[in-house]
Amino acid sequence: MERAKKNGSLSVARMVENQSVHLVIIEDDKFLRSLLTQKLSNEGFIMVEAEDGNAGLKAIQEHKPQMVLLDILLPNMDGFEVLEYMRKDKILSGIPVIILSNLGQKEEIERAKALGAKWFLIKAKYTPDEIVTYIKKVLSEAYM
Amino acid sequence: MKKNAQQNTPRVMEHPISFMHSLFGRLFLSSLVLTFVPVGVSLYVLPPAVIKPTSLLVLFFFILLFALSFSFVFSQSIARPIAVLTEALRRLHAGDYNVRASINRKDEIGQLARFFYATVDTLLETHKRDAALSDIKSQFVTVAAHQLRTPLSGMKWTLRLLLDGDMGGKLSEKQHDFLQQGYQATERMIRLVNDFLDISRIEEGRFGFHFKKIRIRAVIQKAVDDVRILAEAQDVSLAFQNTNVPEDLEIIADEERVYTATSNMLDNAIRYNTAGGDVTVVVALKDDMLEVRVTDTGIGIPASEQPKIFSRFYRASNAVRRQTEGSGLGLYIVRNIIRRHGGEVGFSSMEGKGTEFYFTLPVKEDFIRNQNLPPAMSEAA
Repeated sequence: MERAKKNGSLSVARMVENQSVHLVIIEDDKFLRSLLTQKLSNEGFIMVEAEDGNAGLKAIQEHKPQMVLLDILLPNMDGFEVLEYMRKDKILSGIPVIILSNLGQKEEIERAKALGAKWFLIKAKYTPDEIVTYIKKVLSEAYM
Repeated sequence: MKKNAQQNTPRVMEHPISFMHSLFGRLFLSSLVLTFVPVGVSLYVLPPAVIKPTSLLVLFFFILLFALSFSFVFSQSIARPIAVLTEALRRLHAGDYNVRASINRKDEIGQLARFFYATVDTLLETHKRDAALSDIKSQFVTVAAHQLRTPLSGMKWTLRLLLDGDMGGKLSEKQHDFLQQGYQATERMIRLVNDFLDISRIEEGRFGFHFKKIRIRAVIQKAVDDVRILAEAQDVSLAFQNTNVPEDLEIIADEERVYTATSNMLDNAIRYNTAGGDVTVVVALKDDMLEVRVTDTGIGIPASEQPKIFSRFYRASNAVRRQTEGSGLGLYIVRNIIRRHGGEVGFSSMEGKGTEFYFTLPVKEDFIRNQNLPPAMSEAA
């Protein structure tokens, strides 16, 4: 944990295209969403929050973020549907997605991966710090 | 899956039936006897003047022909429904419950058929009920996992953010200490939930296993890669060595379960290690077995406690003393998974020096046969 901190989180974020990194977080649980937003804002990311699939897609289209953090069980439009929609869209299909869900059966993980998600992280298994590590990893793979 | 299931069906030997053993063969023999006896008797009883050789011959052939056609018709009337029932049984054995045939007879064979189909109905009902139960259980596990983990994630993240200073402000040593203990309690809870979910899925028994051909090396490699972050956090170096396992080696196994077993072993090796310690994973092919060996330089297992470590909920005293969270279910799960695959689990350990765990998995295809998996059931999984 300590090590991750020392590496300097801002540097990676700023290195990406030499501009501020926008992240869209789609999560219906307000508490979890605010905790992660707090952490990621501290890390220098510019956070856009959405509480369901529809609002999430709208935010993605509007802000064209560098990455999306996506829950699976969401009101209106679930995470799989968001992934499917993004995959069919020319511009949105290039945006990397990390799934953050408390589901985690093999079928769900495989389905999300098949729809293009980079990682499937079970929320309860990872600390905010570890989630930041994954985000940076995916960002640097995608943009550097 | 279907193919594997078929392969694993214990074969019923289908002996070719010889002519003399067939129904018609036996009736043919008896008709010969039945023909010769009356002719012989008539030769003996009737005065020789009455018997003309030609009429005797005609009579002989007439009776023989009659007996033969009678035995043919008779044998067919028994053999055909039996063949139908045999075919139905064969299909039932292969897992096809939709066996139906029209045997509308009022005799013993008709009765046999009616009993047979009534039994099939009962079997079908049981099968459907089992599948439905398995479905409900799996849905319950999904919902329970989600509902339990969501508030736990909130607690975990809050405590972590406070501990990591992400919420601003400086914590006193005492505050930090209490938050840390709260964090560990939450972690314990989360691991318990995970372990219970694993166990409930494993104890579903054969329903829960998805055996198929998998590239085993990649599965082990993935389990190793996925614990790298944990190893780094604990300041433990993690090495993976492959002795002689080809990348494309395929074995029949449940990918998710083998991954879980490997992860659990690695988790122990890392968590019960010391800062600056090592964990080495070696995969090797030895005869017909794939061997995965995890060696650590951790706290080891006291000799007196070694026989108990595979028991459910058991944790070694030195592990408990370290206050590291743990449910005592990890190795129980490993052993369950590996045994179900027809493999073995073992270890050697010295307290204070480290532990070497290994498990083996059979590489040969026929191992699942020993498990007598009924094909229809393994498919319901």
